[in-house]
Amino acid sequence: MIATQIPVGGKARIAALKLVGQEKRRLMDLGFVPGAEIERVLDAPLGGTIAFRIRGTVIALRDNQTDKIEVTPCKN
Amino acid sequence: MAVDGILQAAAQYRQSLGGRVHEAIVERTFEEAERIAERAVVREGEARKFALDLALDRVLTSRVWGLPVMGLMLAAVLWITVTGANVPSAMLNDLLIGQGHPWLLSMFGSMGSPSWVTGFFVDGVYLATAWVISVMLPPMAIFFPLFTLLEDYGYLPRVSFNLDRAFRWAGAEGKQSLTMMMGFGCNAAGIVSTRIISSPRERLIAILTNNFSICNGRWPTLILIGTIFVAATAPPAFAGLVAAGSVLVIAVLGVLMTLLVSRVLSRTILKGEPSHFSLELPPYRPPQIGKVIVRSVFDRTLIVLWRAVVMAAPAGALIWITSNIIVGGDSLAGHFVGWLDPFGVALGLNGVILAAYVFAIPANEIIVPTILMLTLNVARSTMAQQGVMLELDQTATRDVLVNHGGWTLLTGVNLMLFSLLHNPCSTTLMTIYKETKSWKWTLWSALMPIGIGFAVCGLVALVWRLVT
Amino acid sequence: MQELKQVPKACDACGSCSAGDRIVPMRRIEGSDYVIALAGNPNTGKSTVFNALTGMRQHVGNWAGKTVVREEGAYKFRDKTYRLVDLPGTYSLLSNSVDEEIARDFVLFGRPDCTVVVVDATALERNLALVLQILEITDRVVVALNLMDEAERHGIKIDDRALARDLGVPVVPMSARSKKGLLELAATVADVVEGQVALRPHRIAHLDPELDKAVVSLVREIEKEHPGIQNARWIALRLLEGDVGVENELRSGTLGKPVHGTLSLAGGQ
Repeated sequence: MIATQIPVGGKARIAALKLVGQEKRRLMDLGFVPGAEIERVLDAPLGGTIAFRIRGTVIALRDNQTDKIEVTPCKN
Repeated sequence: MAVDGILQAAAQYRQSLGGRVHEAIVERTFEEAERIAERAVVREGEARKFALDLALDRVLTSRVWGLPVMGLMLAAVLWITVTGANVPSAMLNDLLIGQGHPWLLSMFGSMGSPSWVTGFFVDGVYLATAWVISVMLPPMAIFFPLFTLLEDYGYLPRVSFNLDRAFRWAGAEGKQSLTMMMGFGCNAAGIVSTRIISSPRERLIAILTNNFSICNGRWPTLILIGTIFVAATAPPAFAGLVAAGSVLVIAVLGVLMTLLVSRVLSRTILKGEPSHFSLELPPYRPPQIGKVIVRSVFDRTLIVLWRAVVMAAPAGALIWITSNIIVGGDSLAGHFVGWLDPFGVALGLNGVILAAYVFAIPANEIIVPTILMLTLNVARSTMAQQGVMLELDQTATRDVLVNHGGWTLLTGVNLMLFSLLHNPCSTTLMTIYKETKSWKWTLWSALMPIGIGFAVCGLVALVWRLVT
Repeated sequence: MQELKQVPKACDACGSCSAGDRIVPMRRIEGSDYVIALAGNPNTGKSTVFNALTGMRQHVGNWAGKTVVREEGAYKFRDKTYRLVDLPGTYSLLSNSVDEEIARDFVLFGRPDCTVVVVDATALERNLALVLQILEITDRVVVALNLMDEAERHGIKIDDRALARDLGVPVVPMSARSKKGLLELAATVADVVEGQVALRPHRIAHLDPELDKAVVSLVREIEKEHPGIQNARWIALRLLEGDVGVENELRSGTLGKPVHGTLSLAGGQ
């Protein structure tokens, strides 16, 4: 599934990044690497932007990026 | 060339390694970071730390509460700034103008200086400077520490987060919300803060629209007009609320204009690829309040004083001169006002207001006293010496404007709109030039808002007159 | 003259500070003995460290991305002048955004005598990624483990000696906001630049023999073309990644040119 489908407060593990080039590097540098655990913490009130906790830091991304992050849900 | 050889070899290796070199390296780096961190962290308090922050964030960014809380914060900051500044402003006014002015007059007189010299320096230069200091210093000394506290605490990225969708619609970078907020204190500071936007195109959009954030220099004008004109139409019990409300409306209008104009710009003359957005929401960190306040007040005080001397002083001199040089039966200022009047009235304003805005290009703060002075001048009232900027209480001010200046509610409303929609002050313009190094864009940033201002005021005047 | 009298907590058995050590912030930078680069993730209190050492009053705000240009200041310690260069906060040195390039270019080619990496003690794992990257570039690194007061507040305890052992470079716990640990930082930096500390920087083993082979071969070529160049291994890795910035610099011949002068961000200063 993709990151936008993680329920709020839920966790998942990154499977792949369906992005290329600069965009992909940028995300990887922030820690969005296959195998990393992310937690969907906040949804923006107007929608479209989601904040994830990754490696202890909360980072917000727009859905044109988050819908390209493939994840596998965590059992917890 | 050997370099090409190296690059070719690298490309070949890249191919044979499956093109995943970067990913592999980054993954390994994070793996190592994880491993080492795990060994070094002895006791994890993570859960507790996250829980508190998260609880707060859930409220501050919630569907229901997020935006209202933001509005409330803005209102709170506005209210604290305004009420907090009242007393110091009055005190400074009393000191510098109430006492300082007559003292200087007598001092100049005792030195035997000719009246025009006294007039020029004391009534022109000194008064303008004194007015800027007393009007601008207290609000700035309050607003910026408040803003800095919010900033240091970590609230501002949450505002960006909340507004991101809107800024996306506007075709703008998320960080523009932060520069916009900075502009509410001082537009020049807002311009400098656009450095956090890395894409030049998006940075330019932020610069061009920053003036729609109402800076501290314009609050007093808005509050005064809001109080004596708009609130006057409401029952006295609600006057305070209505006045504050009208100012808040203008502020929100400014935010809407920022978004709208950004959208238009990003679709027309500043078209381009939106940059990749990512925003860190840092943990909340209680700031060292005392330190912040002290440092902020000092920094701001110095800036305001500098600005008063460099910007306001010459403006004051100019006002005095044009009000006192009589040509063809009227002062230069009087001629200027008369010439602008037809255009002014068409906009639902008048010649005095337009002339005042020309004089106040260096500093928005002197708008009100300049308007008063010009009004009395044009009406040939003996209430004021020629070219002397005044301090009148609210009722007296209203009387002057309505009876001597022919102001109506329309004038008041349009002045508030025009206060939002006019050219940036000269400090801001200079800053824009320094940051963009382009005459073209500096000119744009000056003419675009005022063009919009003319259009909006004209439209409002038209509709108003048709309706009433 | 600013006197910082607090003795940092982890200092007891160290003995590297002599009584009467003082950091003297300098208003003007007149010649300097050493150049120190200040790097770190955004939001780690880097600017606070910078301000505390140099006495400058750069604005510090709790939002990532505040410092965008390279700020310079100086301080005097034990009779030597240190020029401190505050680099933009970056998450990594690998991407090609302007601030990351500025930071990277300075650490790589500016030949600082020491690079201090400011690390957020409350987010160690994330911050270490940058530290490890910097360790790939230079040996002379000091890790400033900042925000220790915040960590304590959240019940996080860090074994800085274990960390120093694993990283192979000195780690200085501190809380710049409360002016704690600054003296020890200055002392550690002084020791490092004067070669008094054994440095065994942790290098990431990539576990891919093919990659290692490619790196070795490229390094040979690079060193042939640019004899005496530092960081050939780092350059080789970037070329294998297809890093456009490095490729361009190699082509234009600007690779390896020391940049000690002032770098200003295009479009504003």
